[in-house]
Amino acid sequence: MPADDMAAPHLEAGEVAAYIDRRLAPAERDRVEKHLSACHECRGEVIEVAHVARTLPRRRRWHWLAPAVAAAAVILFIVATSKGIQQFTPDTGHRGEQGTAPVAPVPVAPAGPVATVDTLLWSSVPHTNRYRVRLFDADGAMIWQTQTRDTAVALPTSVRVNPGVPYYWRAEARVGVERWVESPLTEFTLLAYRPRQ
Amino acid sequence: MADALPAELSRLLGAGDAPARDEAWAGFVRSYSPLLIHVTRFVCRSHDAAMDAYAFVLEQLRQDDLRRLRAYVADGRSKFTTWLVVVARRLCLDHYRQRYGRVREAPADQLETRLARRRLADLVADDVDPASLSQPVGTSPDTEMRAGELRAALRTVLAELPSRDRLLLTFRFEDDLPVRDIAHALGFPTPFHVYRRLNRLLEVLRRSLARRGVEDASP
Repeated sequence: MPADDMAAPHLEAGEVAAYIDRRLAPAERDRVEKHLSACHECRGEVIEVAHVARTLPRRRRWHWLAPAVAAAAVILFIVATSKGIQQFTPDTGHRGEQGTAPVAPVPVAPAGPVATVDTLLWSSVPHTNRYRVRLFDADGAMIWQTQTRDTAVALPTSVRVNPGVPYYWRAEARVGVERWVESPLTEFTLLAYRPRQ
Repeated sequence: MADALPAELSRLLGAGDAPARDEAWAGFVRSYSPLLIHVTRFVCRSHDAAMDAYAFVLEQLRQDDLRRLRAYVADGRSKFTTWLVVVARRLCLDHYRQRYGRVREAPADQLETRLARRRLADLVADDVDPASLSQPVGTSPDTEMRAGELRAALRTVLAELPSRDRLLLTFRFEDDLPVRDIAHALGFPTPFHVYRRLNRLLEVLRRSLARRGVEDASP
């Protein structure tokens, strides 16, 4: 076998990626393979990158299911609301708002990559005196929920948020008896673990 | 065939003012964090080291007005995710070297395997004692000469092989890689195809050596 050719420059990132993706022209591929035969470091890189690339986590179905579920929930809500209006119009105390869908709360923080997760914050909803907040882990399992009158809630220290993995949360506002409007699921990822005070 | 830039990257590189850039960066991080963390975990093994490396990779990707990300060219030669794996892995190794000042050690099982690896010469010349090829000290001049001839003949016939076949043999007999990894790196459909190709190549090498008079390889 040829010895490592230390004088030859290593492959560029684009060449390694293109080689693994099988998108090099034959002549270029031949050149890369000749280099690989002689360069232990680049061979190691190709093997590791090929391994990592084929074991990459797939995007969870959650990402595209969430909007669909939210849309279905909105449709169900509208249908339920319209039926409720037809059946219980005399009893409702908010006649002026019957024809409009309640405004959903909007998550403010945390969202996206964050340095700390101490408090969950969302926008207020008119005529609401109760909010419900739910926190889900990356698999969609609910790991914490609470209710409050405020538009912010402190995350208890008993809830451990691990860095580097996505979490999801949503706020729901109560707009009637057993009627809630919910925010879209919001994702956040803690960048590095810091013990909460 | 030119590929379009991924939406998150396109938005990030095209963001005009600082707030738009921050928002686009958050979107980019949200989309590619699973990939980056997967890479850092692969390189660093321990959780804490992987998270340190993840933070380092993010910092480096954002540095100098996204210089590294701007280097990606969507010319259809590679997928952005594959390219990002390469870049992130290199950054992880930089981080590792900066922090520990040495390269990673191979895991114990790899070292064990390496110690037990079979040499190509064993397969193309069954009767040659591998020890005589790697440690000629203490052997007779005849044995040394014969082993030297075998190595020279082997080098010659290897040089005649296509680069892909030579690389396959290097992966298998020099790096002692699992056949499954080789299949993925070289684009074989299954490990079975690698075995079949290896057997064919060994047969070609034996015939080539025989033509050069290396039929009986025993010293």
